[in-house]
Amino acid sequence: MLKKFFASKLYRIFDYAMRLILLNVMTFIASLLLPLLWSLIEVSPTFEWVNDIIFIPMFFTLIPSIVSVVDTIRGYELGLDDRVFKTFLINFSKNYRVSMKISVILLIVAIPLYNSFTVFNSLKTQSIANAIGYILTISLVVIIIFITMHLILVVTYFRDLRLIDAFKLAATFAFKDIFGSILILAAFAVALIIAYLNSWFLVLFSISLPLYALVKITKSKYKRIYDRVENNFK
Amino acid sequence: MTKDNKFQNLKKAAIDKYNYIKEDLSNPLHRAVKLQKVSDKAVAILRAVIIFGLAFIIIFPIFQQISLAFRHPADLNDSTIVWIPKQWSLINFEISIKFLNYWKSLWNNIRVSTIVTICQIACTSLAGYAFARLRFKGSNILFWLIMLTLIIPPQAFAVSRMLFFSDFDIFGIFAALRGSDRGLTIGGAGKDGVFYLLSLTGQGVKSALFVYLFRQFFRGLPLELEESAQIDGAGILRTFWSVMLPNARGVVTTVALFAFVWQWNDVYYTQLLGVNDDKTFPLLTMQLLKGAEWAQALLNLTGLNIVDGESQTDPKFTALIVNTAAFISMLPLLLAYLFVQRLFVEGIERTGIVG
Repeated sequence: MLKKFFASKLYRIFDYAMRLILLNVMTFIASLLLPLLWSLIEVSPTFEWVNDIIFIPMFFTLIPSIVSVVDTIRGYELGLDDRVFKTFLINFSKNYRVSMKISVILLIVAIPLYNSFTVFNSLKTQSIANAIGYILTISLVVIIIFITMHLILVVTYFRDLRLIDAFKLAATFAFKDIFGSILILAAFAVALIIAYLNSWFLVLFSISLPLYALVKITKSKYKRIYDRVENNFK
Repeated sequence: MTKDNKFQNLKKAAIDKYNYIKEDLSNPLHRAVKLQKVSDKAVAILRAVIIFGLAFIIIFPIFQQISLAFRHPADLNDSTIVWIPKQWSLINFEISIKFLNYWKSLWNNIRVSTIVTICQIACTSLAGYAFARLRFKGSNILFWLIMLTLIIPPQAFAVSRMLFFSDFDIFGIFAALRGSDRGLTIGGAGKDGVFYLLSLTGQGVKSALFVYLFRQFFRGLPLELEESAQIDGAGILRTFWSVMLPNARGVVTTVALFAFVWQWNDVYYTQLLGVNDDKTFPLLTMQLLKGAEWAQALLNLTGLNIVDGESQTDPKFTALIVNTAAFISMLPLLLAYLFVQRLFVEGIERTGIVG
């Protein structure tokens, strides 16, 4: 009876939902623990400057947590590992170096893009050149999002690659299957909108669910190449 | 191994791995398979969108009609009601049944459509068989002349047809028999025989199409079937009746369905030949045509006190009654469709036409 229940579809769905909730909460704890704790404290005006710097540690943990979540989901999907906490932490430490490199690169790219976006956004109605600049900036942002999504997958599936090669592969994957990339982007957008409207979704699924979609949508393609690479480079 | 060597080896392994993956990704076979998969998916999505859209376009008005039919006139101006009425009512049906003279019209429609269908099958199957198998001089020209009646709109020869039927004669036989200088006047109120005559002479609704369908089907049947029947001593009519027609069951069903539905919905011929008579021989489509004025006049003149005065003068209410009348006019066909759905779909698939 119990065996039948564990094999049922309902059990698997709830089991997966539980895993995603745990991963989401752990991502929040890993990247937003300090701001969360800080928000609980009644701050005296003397320490208000802390509000400006409290998010800085997030830079060191957010991308590694996301990479770790992807790696954990990937491991579960491929049948390599079915634990959550321990695997998350192992993956966190294993991918930390490469994730930090990605964080730094993203930060370097994000600063000029943010500047470009704000400038062109305010001037876009004034001349055609500004409008073109605005459109180009938006396009560039979309391209970077596409590449970043696949970069996370590439570094988790194919370890030991040089970062430049990982970038090249991510770009290849992203634009070879442009429909898949758009689908993933749509999943992220939907999750973002729901998270904005519903705080429970934000806490329970906002990060892990779109990442699950990311892994699930790309699984067949990555798995095929992953299996071949594993066989050839044991 | 020195630290430098170890680093070089790792780097080489990483580059090899990258090259391998890159090569795999640019494999033309994989690309072709993927392209095929993507195009298959795209086609499936497109097909689903088109089918869903078409289904929506067709089904949506029917659901709306049903929802409106059961709505009480008092709910008409309530903008909060979209689909489910607040007050369910059969008043619209009662009024529609009265102004359509429904039961009598329904019986007339069933009778006319059934007899016309039988006549159409009898005539067009024979004509189709003749064009398919019996070769005579000018048969092809005759066939394409018949096909021409499909292309030329019936309105183009409405006047000539009217004149023809108002003085119908064959070599002056009818005039001589009647002792008059004029032939028979075919058509007129209550004279449904004109429909049967038209169908039997291959001039019914879309008869040419049915002739074409039968001809194509009979041409596809193997000659050996006929030859074996002829060896057994069967003549042309016997071969047609005992060999060809039993094999053409599929086409007969298709023609029967379309002939019935098209005759049921026919307005043009009924109006042209003036067959409809409101009292003695009402037909559903013609009754419906008079829709709005009739409904209004009936309410005003007979003083049916089933709705309050304000609703009676509301044009929306009149539209509601006409809508319900249209719904109950097509209801028998809808109900019949539920039972002969498979045949109907097969018919459309076989012929590629939509009723």
